[in-house]
Amino acid sequence: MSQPLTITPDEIIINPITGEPAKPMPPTVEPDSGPQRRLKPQPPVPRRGWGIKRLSFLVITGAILAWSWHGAEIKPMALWRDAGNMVTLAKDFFPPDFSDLKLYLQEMVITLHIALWGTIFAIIFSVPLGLMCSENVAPVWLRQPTRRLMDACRAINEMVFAMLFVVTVGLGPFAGVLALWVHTTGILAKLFSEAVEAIDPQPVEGIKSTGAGLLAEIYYGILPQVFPLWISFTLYRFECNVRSATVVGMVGAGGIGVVLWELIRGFLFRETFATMLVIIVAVTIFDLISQRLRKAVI
Amino acid sequence: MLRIENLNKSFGSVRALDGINLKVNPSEMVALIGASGSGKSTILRHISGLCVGDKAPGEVVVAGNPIQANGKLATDIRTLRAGIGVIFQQFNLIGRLNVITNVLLGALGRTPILRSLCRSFYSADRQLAMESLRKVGLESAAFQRASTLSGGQQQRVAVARTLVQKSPLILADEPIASLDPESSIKIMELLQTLNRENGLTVIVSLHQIDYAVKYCPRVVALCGGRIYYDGPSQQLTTDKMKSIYGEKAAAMFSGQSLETQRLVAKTSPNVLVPRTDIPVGNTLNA
Repeated sequence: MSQPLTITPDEIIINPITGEPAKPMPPTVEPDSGPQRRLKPQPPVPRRGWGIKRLSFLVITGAILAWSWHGAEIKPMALWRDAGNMVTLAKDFFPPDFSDLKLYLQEMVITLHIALWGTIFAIIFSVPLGLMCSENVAPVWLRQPTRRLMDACRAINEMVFAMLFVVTVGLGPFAGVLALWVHTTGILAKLFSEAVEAIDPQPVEGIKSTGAGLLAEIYYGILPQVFPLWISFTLYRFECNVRSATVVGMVGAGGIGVVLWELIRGFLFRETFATMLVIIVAVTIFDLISQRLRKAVI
Repeated sequence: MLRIENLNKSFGSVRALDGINLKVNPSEMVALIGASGSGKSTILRHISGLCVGDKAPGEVVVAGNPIQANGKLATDIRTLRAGIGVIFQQFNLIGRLNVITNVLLGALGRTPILRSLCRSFYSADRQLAMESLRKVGLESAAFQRASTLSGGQQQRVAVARTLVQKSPLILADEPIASLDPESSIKIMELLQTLNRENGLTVIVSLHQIDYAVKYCPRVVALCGGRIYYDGPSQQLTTDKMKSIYGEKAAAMFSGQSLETQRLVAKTSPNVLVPRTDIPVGNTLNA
């Protein structure tokens, strides 16, 4: 410390507001690195020990994983032991046989038609149903039953619905459309309602205060806010439906799935591979297009 | 124009409004002042029917129509709201729609639902919307998205919306709380014009006492959900403000807006005003 810390009287500053002498600033003391500065014991950072809670959580998780391993009959050794079979099967796939390419393409287009209309019907129903599931729109007596109904639509896979609709409307693409419609409605209604529940309520009050009716309030207050999200959800579901539509055909609900199932059952693996390639290309193209669209909307 | 009788509102155990009685005559311009949480916004939300009071005898009547009584909204509340224009602190515009559509939304109350869903408003309303935009000086921004405007501009759009609504009563809930001084003055002058030239009744809640005194002849001060003062704004003294805003805040307040007090002094010489030739801090210690 070379400088004295005292202040001479003429240096005292008077606060112009209070008229009191200002207090001198306390001297800033540089922390010495000398031996006189003792290291204070730092307060220990609390460490999480192996508490009984944590231990039991790990034990339970482990038990569930082991149980599922057993239940799913996972046998890693089989991969190695049966490697020969796989090589044989893989060999059967080559070279892909495109002699029926025209049929595959036709059926692929029908598959896209199924996906498109399955999604469009789902949108039409999801808009009102989604609003009916939303906490900030629908009263509880309407909301809860609608939500449970949508849960049911979601819980059952489109394949199962396809099998049921094949029974009612017969074999063919329309059964596939119905199956996708029901399942996608269940999903979109939930996604739509979650978007509605996350809106900013203030613009809605602005609309309400003009004396608007309920429909106008939803149309002008809610829809502009959720519109980008809804479009994004819808395009995503359309992507999923293009994939799903290739499968619903396997139970007879039309499209390329029917062809695929027939080929696999006939052990025509070279043709199967060609069909799979067609599906991969089509699905990839539609994924790319819808991603572009989604980015454009948001 | 407006009559509130024994309005009570509790949020849980907190009493937000405690036996409010208020009468406002047509063509009055009234300022609601009070500290945060004193119930200014809550009163306005009850008048516009966005909130319902406690289930106790009490009612809110606007232009002869009961808005709510005994903790129940009127059954035709959606139609009644058309007669009450509301301006919000956060403007509450639809950001993704353009300005002119936002202004046109004021006409929703008298537009049939099919027409409003197709966005085909009456041409008379379209004209009125454009005129209103001209009045607030934003006609050049008519086809911009509302979200691209500044706060002050958005609030002017909100004023234009209430103009299209053609309501005889305008409630403004802290319309200038999030605006800069210049925009604030513009908004307050707009409200004053509507009050003086169009004869609209205006009730405006404000944080800034100087604005209240300058623009509103009558002030209603709230404190803890009760009406603490109701009278000419000129008779609002520092002592009264102290009890409205609390000792400390009022002291700070009296230091900050000496201009207000000078303004008060000009109009009513009886009011004691701190001398301005001594440093501000002395009033702090006093």
